[in-house]
Amino acid sequence: MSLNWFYKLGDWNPQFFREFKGRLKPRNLAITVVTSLLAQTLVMAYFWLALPGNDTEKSNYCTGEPSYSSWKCLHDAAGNVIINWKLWWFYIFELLSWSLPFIVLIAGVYMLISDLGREERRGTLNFLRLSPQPSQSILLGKLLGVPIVPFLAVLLVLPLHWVSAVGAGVSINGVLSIYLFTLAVASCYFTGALLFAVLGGSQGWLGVLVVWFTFSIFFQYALMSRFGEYYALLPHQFFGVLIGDSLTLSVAFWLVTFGVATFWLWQAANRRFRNPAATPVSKRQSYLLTACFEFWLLGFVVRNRSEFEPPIHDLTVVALVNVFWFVILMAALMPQRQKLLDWARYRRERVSSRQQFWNHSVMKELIRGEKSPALLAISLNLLVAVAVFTPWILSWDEAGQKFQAFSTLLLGSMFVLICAAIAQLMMLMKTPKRTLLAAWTVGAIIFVPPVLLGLLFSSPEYFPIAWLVSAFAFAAIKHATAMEIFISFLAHLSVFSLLTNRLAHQLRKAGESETKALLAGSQRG
Amino acid sequence: MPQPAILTRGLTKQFDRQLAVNDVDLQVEAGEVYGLIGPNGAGKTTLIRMLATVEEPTVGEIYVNGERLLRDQDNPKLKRQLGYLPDDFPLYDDLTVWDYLDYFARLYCLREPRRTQRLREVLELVQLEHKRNDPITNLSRGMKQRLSLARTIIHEPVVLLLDEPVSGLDPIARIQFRDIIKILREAGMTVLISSHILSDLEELCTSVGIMEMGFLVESASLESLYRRLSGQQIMVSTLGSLDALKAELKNCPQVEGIELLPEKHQSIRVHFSGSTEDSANLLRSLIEAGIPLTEFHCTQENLETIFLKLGHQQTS
Repeated sequence: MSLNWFYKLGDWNPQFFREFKGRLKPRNLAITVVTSLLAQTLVMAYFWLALPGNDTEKSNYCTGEPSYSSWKCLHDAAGNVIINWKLWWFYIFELLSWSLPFIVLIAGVYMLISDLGREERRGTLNFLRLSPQPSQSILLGKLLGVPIVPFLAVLLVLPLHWVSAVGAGVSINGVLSIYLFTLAVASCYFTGALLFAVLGGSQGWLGVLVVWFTFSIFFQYALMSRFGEYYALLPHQFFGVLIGDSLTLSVAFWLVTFGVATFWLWQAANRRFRNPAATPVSKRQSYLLTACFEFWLLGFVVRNRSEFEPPIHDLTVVALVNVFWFVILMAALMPQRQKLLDWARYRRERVSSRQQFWNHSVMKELIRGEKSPALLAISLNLLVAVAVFTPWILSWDEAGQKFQAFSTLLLGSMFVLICAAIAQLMMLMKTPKRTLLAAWTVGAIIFVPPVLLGLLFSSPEYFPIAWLVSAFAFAAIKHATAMEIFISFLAHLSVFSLLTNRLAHQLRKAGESETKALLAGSQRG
Repeated sequence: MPQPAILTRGLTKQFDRQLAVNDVDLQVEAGEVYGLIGPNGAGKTTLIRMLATVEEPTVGEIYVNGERLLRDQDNPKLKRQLGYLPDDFPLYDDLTVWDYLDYFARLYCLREPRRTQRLREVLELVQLEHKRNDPITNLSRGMKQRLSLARTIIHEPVVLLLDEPVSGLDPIARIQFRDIIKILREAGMTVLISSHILSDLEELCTSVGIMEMGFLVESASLESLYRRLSGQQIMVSTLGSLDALKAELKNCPQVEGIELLPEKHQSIRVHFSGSTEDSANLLRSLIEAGIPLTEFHCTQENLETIFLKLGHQQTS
């Protein structure tokens, strides 16, 4: 047999070839094939045993009158029980449609995280970085090659899946949409696993937990919606279009959503793989990323609503989601202490004689620089978010709600900026656990005050001004007066000013040369 | 005008407030074997890692064959010119020797039939042809080190960066490794090598750089280093009286000092500042004076002595 295609594969993507060759050894291949066939036999045997016999009175697969949760059995002239084969095949089809994506996701995510983590720990990943192969090619090789064994096991089940689909009378479009959906979800999860691994994560079980958790939620949701509208996968409307009523639109929506998410995760993984000291997202990328996310979010709230659903309710959800979005963005944009020290100390020296100084102004560095503090970039991202939602808010009818909406955006933005300043200050700390500490602190600032306030005052309407200075200001806006909102804004502004002053002072200190620090020390001495 | 193989300008690396490499201007000409010496923590490894694009410089510029190295770009053309062997040389234990090299040859875009040919060449060079189908996990440390070197040169890099390549090797493995580097030197490859084994460097290098506390305090050709800093010595032994020999030596203006060697009977070490012709004239005058010489042997101070003389610490 000609093996030319096999060697051409190696020239196309050496990393994929290495994984393919290393993992698909005859022993592994035999185990995979046997396991897959055995699993299929067991599934078929289980369903076969569940079939009613000639003396069965009631069964799920009988064709008579409904009786509680099953059906009474009917018999033909020869006394054989009449079986609802279509339903029998449908149950097999359904089981495979749920379990195959689950196996692919769980095994793939686990293997990708473990493999990359192991390579990083052993130091072999650096040799791949040093090769002239583009980082995309290495990551693609890993993504396709590392989970090759579970891929193969699942591929071997596909004939049974198709047979069951035909037996159940499921349309080709229905089956293909399952494959497309699985492909989109797997691309997104696998790229996420790559990103997690290149960020330093090596705990494959954590990936398994995330897959398990999200898959379970989706499964439960699907079980509930089965009795309602079949295609209502979420959302019902997007930019006012009724996508929940159409399988094509629903699948298209999720394909685009997962596609865009995969694109951004890929950008981050690729960037971080190429330079492990870099932030996952550059400042320039972040503006477009936020615009994408906010635009997507806007799609959920721009909809035909009844008069009992005021748009301000949607905005409060948007505000809450955005708090979490900006926490993620902070983590993705904040440079590490070393980068900040380098920036503070050497940014003037990096200006080459050929370049004009104005070209390297502080403002430009803060907006686009790789090592500069992320505070201004986060402010600009907030502006992007506000800009996306402003036209929608302006289209509302009620002026009072417009005022509440802009107040929500203003106070929410101020809160995010305070969190960002605190996180950036903590990233300048000397302690090695500064990242964890910053994450815990921001988490505490977001969650502890609302919990305490909830315990003390039970609801935002009793003491709104206290809620206005928390992450959940949006919940209290409608109960607060304009003066209270203004006072809380001033409070936010004062705290933010204090923190930025402190940050500027710390950076100035970090930027001092060692000689200056030594001289200052000797003068004190 | 030919470009230097490696050129750095103001190369600096700071870890927290510590300067690991401080404003280093390094120039290595094409075809040179450049030895980097210095005590532990002097910044040799950090400098090599920056040259190999593993580490990002805090500030400064790196040029390889005149091309600027930029950390955030893929630099495929530049990476083809570099070969880097770190001191810990991690390998893939699940692969065989051949598969490992084949994998890296593919990563460096070597196509058939050149790939197989090159694999055979490097296996022959590192003397691992007989192990080509063995799993890497079965190799000895010396063999693993040679395999790593084979991986480093598989793509015929122009510049080879070796970070303490012989540390932890037994003497025979060390000699084998040294011989391979000599072959690469003869093939015209530019090699930058850091090592604590100064006798090896003395044998291999054309130039030497000394690093201390992040600074490159000395960078010169071995020849000029010897000329400047290595004193010439002449070992003289006689069957006759040592006093007569000493008296005759004192007549020579190039003799700077005389040292009796207690461990060698009737022998003197002469610190000499003259040329080769001057030492020939000295020999002639001693014979004409009727001194019964049994030994007249010119030597030079070695790299280790020069290193210690410069006030640096012993490195090995």
